[in-house]
Amino acid sequence: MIKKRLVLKFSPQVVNRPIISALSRKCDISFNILQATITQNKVGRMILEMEGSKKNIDAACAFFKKSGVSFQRLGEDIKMDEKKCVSCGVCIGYCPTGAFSFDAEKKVVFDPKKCIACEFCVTHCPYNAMTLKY
Amino acid sequence: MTKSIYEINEKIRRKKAVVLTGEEMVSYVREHGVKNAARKVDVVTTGTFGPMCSSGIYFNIAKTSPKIKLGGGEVTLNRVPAYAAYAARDVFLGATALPRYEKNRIRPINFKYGGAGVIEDLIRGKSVLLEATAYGTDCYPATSLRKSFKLSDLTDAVLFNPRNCYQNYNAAVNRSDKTIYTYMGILKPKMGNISYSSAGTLSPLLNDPELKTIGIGTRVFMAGAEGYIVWHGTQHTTAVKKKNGFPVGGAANIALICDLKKTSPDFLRAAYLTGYGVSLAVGVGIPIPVLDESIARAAGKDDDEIFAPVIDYSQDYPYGKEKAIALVSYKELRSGIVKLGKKEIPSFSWSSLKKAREIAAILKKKIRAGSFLLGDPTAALPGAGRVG
Ligand code: SF4
Ligand code: SF4
Repeated sequence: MIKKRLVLKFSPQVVNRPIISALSRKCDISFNILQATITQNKVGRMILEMEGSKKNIDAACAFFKKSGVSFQRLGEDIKMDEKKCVSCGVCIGYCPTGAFSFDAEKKVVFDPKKCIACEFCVTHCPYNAMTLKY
Repeated sequence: MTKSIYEINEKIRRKKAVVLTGEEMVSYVREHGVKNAARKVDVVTTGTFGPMCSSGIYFNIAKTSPKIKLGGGEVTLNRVPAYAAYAARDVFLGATALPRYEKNRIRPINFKYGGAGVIEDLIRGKSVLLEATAYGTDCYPATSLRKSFKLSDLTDAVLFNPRNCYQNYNAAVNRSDKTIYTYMGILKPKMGNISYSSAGTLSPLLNDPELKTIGIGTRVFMAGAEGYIVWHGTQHTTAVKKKNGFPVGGAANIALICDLKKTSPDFLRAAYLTGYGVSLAVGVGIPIPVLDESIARAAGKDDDEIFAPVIDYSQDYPYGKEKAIALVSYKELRSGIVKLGKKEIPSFSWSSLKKAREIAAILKKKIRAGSFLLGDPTAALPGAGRVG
């Protein structure tokens, strides 16, 4: 059994389709919808927690792909290595969701709850302090 | 009233010197005024930590048998090319050197290794592979060498900055329609973000803007070791525009040297800049003796009194047509949002304020404990002002 948290993006073309109910019929996994929103321009965004065998979760991912839903892992798997981080703040300028901030001591802190695992910081932190843990 | 470095050193020896960090000096001057600060405070400590490409190391390898003359030959360290055009056993490695395979990757290149990486490996105690070819002479017959070594195996290893501690620097934006990858970071199109690289009020040379106390022979904190100013830095100039008495943009800088073996990875780190290259972040701190009121005033300035020119890195900088789009204060840059006209631009920094503070605090502690004496410069830097 594994657990996976995904951020799903439903484009305006697919946002009205009953994809999640199809998922429950087709794939033998249990899931939990942690958050669901539809933006003004009709893009759906959902944070989904899935639990099941690796095979079934892979099948669920394949199903999303086939249904035209793009997805990425949620930031729980993104980790900051405190020993490598120099608190420069470059990531503050890069992160699309504002997951980094300065604390009172000007130390850069990472808030995994805000992270959507886009991996931008993983690729671009100059000191390789951010990693993606599978 | 003026003081001398000699007098201050006497106080440091007796552990009687009054030492404040650059940030503490701001509050002190605000509270007690410049006159009192000049009288009471002896030393202001500064600090900065950010990537400086103008960095490198040189060292001397151990004797081999048969002997090899590296000078005129070719040397790589972990496949990173080093410079070997000195004598038989001297090697120079620049922070930005790249192994060939790095340059062949898809652009924008996400750099993984280079000269600065080798330097960091060495100070972390890792072993590094040296591969050399030479043409062989009667007195140095060997024509190749392949040998792993550690920093501790070297008799001499020296960290050297031809240029560091820029007095002030540009703030960078991108006015074009596409993302650009620069040494100031990834800049989003249409001025989507703005980056800067200065410790602001803690920045060493902004605390002595006229270079009255800093000169050749000044002892500094360098990457965790004790280092020295050995010359003015390449691209040093004092003929620049000023605002509130502080240069706007680049201006003065210094050449620094220290023992690589005494440095620490806490203050010397390889930095990988996507699409640009590999650089070395070097932590530097300079103690500023408060010799007269003008130094007290400068060391007591706050981030809202120093300004950076906003430069476009898409067209202007690459073609040498730098023209300030605007001037922004470090207070505004640090706030995270810069207002240009009607636009609010998110800002980010390359310089770590946390590290800069750590460095200024370490220097303060050492000076107060009497274990770090000020170096009395033996010669002034070009364009330097006089005390009094
Ligand atoms: S960019 Fe990297 S080193 Fe700098 S603050 Fe962010 S995580 Fe830390
Ligand atoms: S992975 Fe993306 S969202 Fe998460 S912290 Fe890094 S840049 Fe921000």
